[in-house]
Amino acid sequence: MKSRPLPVVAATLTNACGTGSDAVRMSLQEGYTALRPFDLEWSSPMSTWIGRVPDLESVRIPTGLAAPDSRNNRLAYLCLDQDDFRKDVSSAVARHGSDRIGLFIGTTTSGILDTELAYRAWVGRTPTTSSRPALQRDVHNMHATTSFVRRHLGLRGPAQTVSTACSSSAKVFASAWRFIQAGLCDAAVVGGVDSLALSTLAGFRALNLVSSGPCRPFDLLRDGISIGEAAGFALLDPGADGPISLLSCGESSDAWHMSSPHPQGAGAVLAMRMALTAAGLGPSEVGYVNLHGTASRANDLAEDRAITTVFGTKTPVSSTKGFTGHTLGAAGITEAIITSMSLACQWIPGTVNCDAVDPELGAALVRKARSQTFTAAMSNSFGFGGTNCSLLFGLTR
Amino acid sequence: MRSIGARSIGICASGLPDWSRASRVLTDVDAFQPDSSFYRAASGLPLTESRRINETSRLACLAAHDALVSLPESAIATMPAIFTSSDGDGAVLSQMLRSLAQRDVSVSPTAFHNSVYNAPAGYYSIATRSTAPSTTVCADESSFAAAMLEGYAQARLTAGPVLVVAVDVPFPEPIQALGLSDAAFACAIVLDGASGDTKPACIARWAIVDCNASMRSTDPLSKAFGNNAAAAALPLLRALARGEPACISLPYLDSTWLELEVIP
Repeated sequence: MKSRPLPVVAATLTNACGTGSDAVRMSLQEGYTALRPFDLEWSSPMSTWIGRVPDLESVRIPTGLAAPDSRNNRLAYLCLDQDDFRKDVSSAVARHGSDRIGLFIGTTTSGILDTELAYRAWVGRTPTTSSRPALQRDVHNMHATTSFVRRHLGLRGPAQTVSTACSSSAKVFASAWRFIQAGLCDAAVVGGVDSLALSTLAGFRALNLVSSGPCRPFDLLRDGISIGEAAGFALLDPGADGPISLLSCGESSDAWHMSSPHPQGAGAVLAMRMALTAAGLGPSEVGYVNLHGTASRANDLAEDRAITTVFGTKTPVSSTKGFTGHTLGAAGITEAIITSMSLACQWIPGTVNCDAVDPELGAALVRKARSQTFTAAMSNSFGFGGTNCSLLFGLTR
Repeated sequence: MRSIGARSIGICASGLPDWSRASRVLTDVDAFQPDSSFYRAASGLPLTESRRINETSRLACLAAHDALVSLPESAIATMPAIFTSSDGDGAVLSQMLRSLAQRDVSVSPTAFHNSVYNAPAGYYSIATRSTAPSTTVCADESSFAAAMLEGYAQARLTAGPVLVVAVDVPFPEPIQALGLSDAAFACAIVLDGASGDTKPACIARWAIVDCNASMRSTDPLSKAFGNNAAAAALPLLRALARGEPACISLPYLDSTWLELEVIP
């Protein structure tokens, strides 16, 4: 069954490259990495680079919003404040009613940083101080930031958090699509918010997946990921106009391993082909693929095999993780919006930090940003547990 | 909203170790007796995964297996799955928080990959060798209703069967102080969007309504599962076990409910 295009009416994103869409686009066009040496004051040092959102610490959520304060909610608040996004959502509320707009937010750790820091303070306590860590359920729960965003935007429709590791905020598009098609809502806000936390920094390090320098996707000497933080939101409305539309979503499971991709990228092939079939497009009609491209040895190799299986070796591809870092639960929305911007501007971002392409990789990697004429583009997101999601975007006809 | 078939059910909880025994308890044939023997090994996993599996994943796999036991393998391999948990895995999170609180900020690699919210979905796909899509959703205490809505949408659009699995497990102190889950409960339900297939029951209405305290569904067994958000499924499971028409309200977001009508 061919799916009907779903217009992207508004979008905003904030990450290490900048606050708001224009800042991020300029950073990608200039071609410099936004990664920096690890400098988080609340952690003991780690020998890696990170994609840190500048001045997030000084962001204050207005007390009138009565929102629990957390790094994740600050990031969400900062991002929602850009690109007139809240104004566009208000217009959608006026068109459909607040109870007819769904909300789908991806994250992997929500506000866990505050729980981690509270635990650390509690473990190091003196016997006279509190016998329990200062924990907050409305900060800690996986749904905490989604609740905050829902109240801040004044939405009363169906809402859920999607937490499928690093495909989380790609899969929000698939859920939103289904809820709209099934008549559970008329329009949807999708997004992803994931902020730096000890669990993810230490966890990926424990798996030997973290690079000691800025990550180098598809490079011969790539040695792992650089973890970043990001937020992004998009408004999807089948009844409104937008220059770019979501054409289809493809999803699959590897059924292979909890933390390693299938070596031939079999699950990724399934997801990409499902997206192509649902959109009624052949591989040659896709002008650009924004890779998951984490710069881990195994991911880039498996994804390259999947790409060359589906598209051959001519379709231009690039990874933008060298600019933003791997923003985990926010990677899907970040790269979906970058892919949409690329289409709207008829331009392909490059793969920063890739100095010498690994000769074992056969895909047509774009290293430096360039102009190109194209009508459809794909964004890939994969994650632990063998979860795969490919989104296809196209110019609205 | 259209009605959707409820094809089969699975469960894994104290005193409710599988659906055939649980349905006798839920129809008052047998009395409820707490029993920890529901904690058993999940089937179908390779040795490495069965050694590493965490509690939420194990219970979710057991409940899913119970719901799928009568279905052909070919149907399972193509069936989309939806997982939900309000709080995630208590033992894994507690272990991670304790090690992150140490000076060297280190964690065990297995604890880390088991800490991802979609770990149950990952283990399930490995156990069943299913490459079908799965998703994992959370809506705090409204998680079961959220997963049912996602199940409704998927069943309608695929016009076929969809697996919904809900799991929550007890949290150790001191993080339990957040009011997190204090009992283990997992259940699974196969929804079916195929027209005409309404055995043994179908679920209709699917309306999100404002809170009205007089309509709230409670279950005599709810107390036995404390703060477990997955156990919000009990009134629905009881209605399905009894095979009698029933109206069920599941707690949903911000003082709303998801209203369902069970039609045998």
